[in-house]
Amino acid sequence: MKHSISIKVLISTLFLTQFALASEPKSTNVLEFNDKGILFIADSTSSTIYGYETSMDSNKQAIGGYNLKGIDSKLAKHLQIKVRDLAIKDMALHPITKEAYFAISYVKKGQYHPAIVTVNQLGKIKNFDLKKTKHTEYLVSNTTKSKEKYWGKTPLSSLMFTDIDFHKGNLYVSGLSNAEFSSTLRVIPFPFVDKAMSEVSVEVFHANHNQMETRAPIRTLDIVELDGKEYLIAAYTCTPLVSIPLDQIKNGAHIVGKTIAELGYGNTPIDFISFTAQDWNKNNYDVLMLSNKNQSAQVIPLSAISQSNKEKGLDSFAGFQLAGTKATPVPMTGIMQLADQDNYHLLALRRNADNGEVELVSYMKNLYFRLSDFESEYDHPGYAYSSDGSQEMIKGIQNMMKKDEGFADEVVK
Amino acid sequence: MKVDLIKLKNLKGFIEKLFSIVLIIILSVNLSLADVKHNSNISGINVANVYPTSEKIPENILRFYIYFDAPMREGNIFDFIKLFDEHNNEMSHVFFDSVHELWTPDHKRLTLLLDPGRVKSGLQANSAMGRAFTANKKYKLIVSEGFEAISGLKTTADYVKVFTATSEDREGINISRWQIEFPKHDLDKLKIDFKEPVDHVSAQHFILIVDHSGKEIEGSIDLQPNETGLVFEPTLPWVKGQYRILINHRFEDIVANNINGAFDHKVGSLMSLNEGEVSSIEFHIPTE
Repeated sequence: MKHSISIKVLISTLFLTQFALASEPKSTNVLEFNDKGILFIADSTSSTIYGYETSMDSNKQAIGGYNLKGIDSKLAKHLQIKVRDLAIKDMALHPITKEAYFAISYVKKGQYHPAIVTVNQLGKIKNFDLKKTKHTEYLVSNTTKSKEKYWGKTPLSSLMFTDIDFHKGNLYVSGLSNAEFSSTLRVIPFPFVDKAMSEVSVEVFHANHNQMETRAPIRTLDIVELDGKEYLIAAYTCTPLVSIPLDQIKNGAHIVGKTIAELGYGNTPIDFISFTAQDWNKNNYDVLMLSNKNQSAQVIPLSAISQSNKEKGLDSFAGFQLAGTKATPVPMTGIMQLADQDNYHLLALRRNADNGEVELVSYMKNLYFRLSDFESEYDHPGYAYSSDGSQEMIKGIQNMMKKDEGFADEVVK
Repeated sequence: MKVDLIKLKNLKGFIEKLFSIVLIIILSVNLSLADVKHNSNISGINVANVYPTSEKIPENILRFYIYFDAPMREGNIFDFIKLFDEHNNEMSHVFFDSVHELWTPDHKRLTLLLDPGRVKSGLQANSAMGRAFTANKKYKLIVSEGFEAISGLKTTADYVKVFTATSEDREGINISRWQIEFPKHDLDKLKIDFKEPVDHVSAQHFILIVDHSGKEIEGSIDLQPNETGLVFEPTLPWVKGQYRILINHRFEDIVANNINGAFDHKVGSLMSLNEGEVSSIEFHIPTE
């Protein structure tokens, strides 16, 4: 009898101890860094967003490009699993060390397990300790408004986080429910404070003759400044591009976003990033880049978005063409994840169409292709650049790309 | 002779050994057969159910749910899940090919969204390709064999759901049209007839019964055929007093129209802009 009481005491002590400790992610679905090196991990299984502190120690390789082939096999080997048991859910780049952080889900012993691993430019893979690393968390219940105190406790309806974006102290969180067509956009201040989340419902306005609007979950989002005003630009599940003024996002608000472009139906947008590009005359201009699952990546100057945003929105069927803001397709395909690496590089996790392998490679901004992906006449043995100087610029660019892509020995003097 | 006896003994021993080896072989074959049989029972994983269960589905349907017997692997669902038209042609661009597959945390239920762009009026996908389904035509949703569970076992047979598309449903849910049979005595059940097929998760998730103090009444929900109604049976008998049925406005029918209005609606036509509104219907149990 005494024995059983002591067991009970032990169990309750264990329970309390467990309860008192911060939790850790049960799944790792979406990643985002803020500029202070806090790694946000959205965990769809427990509807929680975690903020982890990361090491700000400098990485000697930080300025280099990534040229890692077969990264899927390397990650699988590191985790002691087969490649087919590995799923890479998201990628984020550390703002200082420029190491790539991967959100991974892998199968081992008949179960899915979460993991975060980091990879640097030399291909060194390290585990990120989800248990011991200092972190805070915010529970995002799949409910809206205080009236709903009864709902959200059953696992029947759960929220799959689709994107998070950190902007000026706030996390903008989009998600897709597996049981309802909700369009709730959540805003969570960081550092996390209990019950500080704002929720807005967003409808998408289609300015057709019927003046229709619909609920729709946001697939990916980014915040940009257009003519001195901040907007949330959201790509939806069937690729309309929608603008939402940031100052309208207040708790309990109902917002109607304006459809400013359609960038290709039958396509799933993957990631949005914004950065400063440069034209051939070395003029800087800001762009938004969208990577896609079913078509090549697209670059859109913010000036074009700003122009569309001043207009009334899409109002007629544009045939089989793209509509609204003009987007330029760039030769980046098979992109699984995309990140803004530094002033010169974009980092992409991509699937090589020739051998099916997954690669972690950097693309040079403004060029948006990798020289080593192609075989051109410049590569033919015995090819000589013209001596009249007309190809000096091409030669310079190609030499720069060769060095960046790990072929410094092929540089032509 | 002695030698022969030894030989004989040896022979006997040999035969005995041989017999025991044969016995072991027979036993182990039997055992392995039993194992195989046992394994085939385990490996008989398959689709348990597909919602909506109705064989008549509005052409603007947005969602199917597939329930499996076992936790399944994610990553390549569209290699195994396909839709065919009445001429047995595979249909393309029908599903919303999300980057994230919508599994429940236990990996036993998969939510399939149909491309919302084709369902919504006024979007390019809708204008260019139209809706995926046409009223009065027959379709087949097939989950083919070979779909792998996390355990490594695979589904052993095709699961086929045949349905006929009906005309579009673009009306929000009207609670006042529901027929409710209120309980009067302690052991009565509460019955709601929705008058149309509703989303089975909504029916189980977005309707609650509370007592006069707001305390939730525990009980079981039984869905009626084609999810057109539910029967609620409280765990403990009703006691005399006031009760309320709370209905969350996010309650959806099978084409994602909810209580606030249709999924695809005219500007300004929503009953409320708040997704989390709750409607309440009161009832009274007069006796113990």
